[in-house]
Amino acid sequence: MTKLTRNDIQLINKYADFEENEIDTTLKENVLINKEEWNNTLRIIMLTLGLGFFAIGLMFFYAYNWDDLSKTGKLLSAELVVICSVALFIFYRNNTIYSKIIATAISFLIGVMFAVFGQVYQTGANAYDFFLGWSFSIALIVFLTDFAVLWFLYLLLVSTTWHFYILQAVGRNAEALELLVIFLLYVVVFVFTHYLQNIGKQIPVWWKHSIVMIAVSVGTILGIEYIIEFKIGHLPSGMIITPISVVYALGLYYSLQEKYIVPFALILFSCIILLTTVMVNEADDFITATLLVSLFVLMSMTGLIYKVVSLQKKWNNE
Amino acid sequence: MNRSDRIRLFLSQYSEEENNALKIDKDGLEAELSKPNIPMGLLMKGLIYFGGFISSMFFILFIFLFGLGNHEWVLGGLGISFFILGILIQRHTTEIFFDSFSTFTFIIGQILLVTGLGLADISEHIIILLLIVINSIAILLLKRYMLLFLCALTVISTFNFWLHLLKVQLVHHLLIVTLGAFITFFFINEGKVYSMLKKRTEIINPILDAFIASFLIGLANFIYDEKGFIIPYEWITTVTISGLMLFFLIYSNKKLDLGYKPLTFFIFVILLAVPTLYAPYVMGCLFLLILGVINNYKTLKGLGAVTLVLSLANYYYDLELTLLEKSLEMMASGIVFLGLYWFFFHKKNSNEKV
Repeated sequence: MTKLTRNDIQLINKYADFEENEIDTTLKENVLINKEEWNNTLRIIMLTLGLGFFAIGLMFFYAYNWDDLSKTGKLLSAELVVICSVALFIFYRNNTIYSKIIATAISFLIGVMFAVFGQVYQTGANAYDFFLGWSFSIALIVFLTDFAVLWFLYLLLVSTTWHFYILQAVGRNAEALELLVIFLLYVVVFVFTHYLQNIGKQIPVWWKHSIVMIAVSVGTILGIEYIIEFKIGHLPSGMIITPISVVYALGLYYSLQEKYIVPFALILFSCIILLTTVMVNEADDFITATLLVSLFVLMSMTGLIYKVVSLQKKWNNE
Repeated sequence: MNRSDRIRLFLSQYSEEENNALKIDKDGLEAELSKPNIPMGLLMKGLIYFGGFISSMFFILFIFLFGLGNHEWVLGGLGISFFILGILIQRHTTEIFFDSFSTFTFIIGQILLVTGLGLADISEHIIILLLIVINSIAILLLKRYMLLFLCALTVISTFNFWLHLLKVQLVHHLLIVTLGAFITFFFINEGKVYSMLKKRTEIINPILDAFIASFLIGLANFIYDEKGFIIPYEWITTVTISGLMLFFLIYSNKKLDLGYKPLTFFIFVILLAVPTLYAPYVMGCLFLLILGVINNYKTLKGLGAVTLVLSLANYYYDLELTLLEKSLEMMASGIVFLGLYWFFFHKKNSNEKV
């Protein structure tokens, strides 16, 4: 039996002649908790609080005594934690979701182990080496586990490695190059995801939304930096404008073909922001610029929303 | 099953089971149910509100840069006109973008009005009173969730701010307890509240959420003490909130047949209240969590859980023990909770709970 929600009951009450106790009974049957759910919830709360407190207490106890540990002790404890997680993984290898979560934990703990090495051997604050080593060592784990969350975190890790490479190896004036490569990386990932979905693989919805959102945000930041000429470096303008325009145009075409509203709205919103930046940059008089910007954003957002809503209505009715 | 089917199924089942038919305004209900409900994702809504926000920020900037910032009465007049415009737009539209536009117009109107009156050196007490009156009138006139929530929140927060101004610290306890009592009263007498507000069902959810938000803000005042407003006697709030929590637990136990003895609840509440006597925010957040769980109110459940974790973290941070003692105490509490779990839920022989 499908249960009503609270909003449904409020709606019915608006148009029908419900008595007080009838409303109470309906609420009790449909919305409020019953004995079984209450016991389940209590069980979850107590288990979570108990394990959580114990684990955090243990961690703090360790942290308090960390300086008193010998070098062997530190390395040994980091490695023991990784070994225990691998043992857990082998124990749970038949249970898919647990094994994937444990694999994510193992990837994270390998990074922690590298950090402990760095601290013990005093290798200096070389973030690029650390992240590069981490990325290479968990590449095989990520590829074999094939877990969407882990892939997403791995993408973030690779982006961070690239960021530190630019920062340490190339120099301060190459921010445009950094953003351009990240932009192209996420676009390539999205195209790859599309082909995987066509073959028949299950891709979670949040994955596509997140990739599109990150790609468009990075593209917008890149565009803004180009317009206000901030840290462009030696990159020719063609190399910035062409990829962004091509990707945006293809993205709009793709979203209309596949009836996927998110890239459409995000790309057009990004264009509105870029045009706003152009207006503020080119205007001699800041005061008129603010009025213009305000009116422009208002009208373009109205137009965008109308278009989005009408597209969704059209696609829902087909 | 979507909303219309659920409601129709329920009504048909209800008229079969009960002998006296329910007097239903069929046309009204059908009209409401057949309104096209376009699923607008969270992303779209965020985008729209962000667009409205940018537009209104630039507009305020324009007004101030244009030199109008020097004329207080012009500001005040503009403020009032925007505020009325916001209400008018909202009453006459159903599109979400105009809804967000009216929200921001309303907010800008109030900001301009307050700035104008402030620059004209009008006493703060009068400004606060004016804000409370305007927002209360707006609640009577408005229809959509966002603005109703903001108006109710403004009323209570302004009242809270007024207490800060008057420097009456002890009344803060009364405010929190009153808010808590309102929320409990709502959940205990939900049927009565629904039938009382039959004509204006749309104000039920926003006002409840505003009460909950203000309750949390009131609790946060214990953590973020300003200079000159240190609230004394924190144990008053802890004791009163524990009392409310106990009352609600025993009442729900009877109403929903949860099968626990009142004594268990009493011991449970005392066990948690005594260590946190001078940190009322822990009991407050636990209270919200329990309310959310028993009444199956999704936002309250999530909010209660998150705030409980944050308040516990703050409580431990504020403890004046060494790190070693704190870590040992945390491990001990963990073991106590696990022990409670084992005791209550791992009895193999009987299904009876204590």
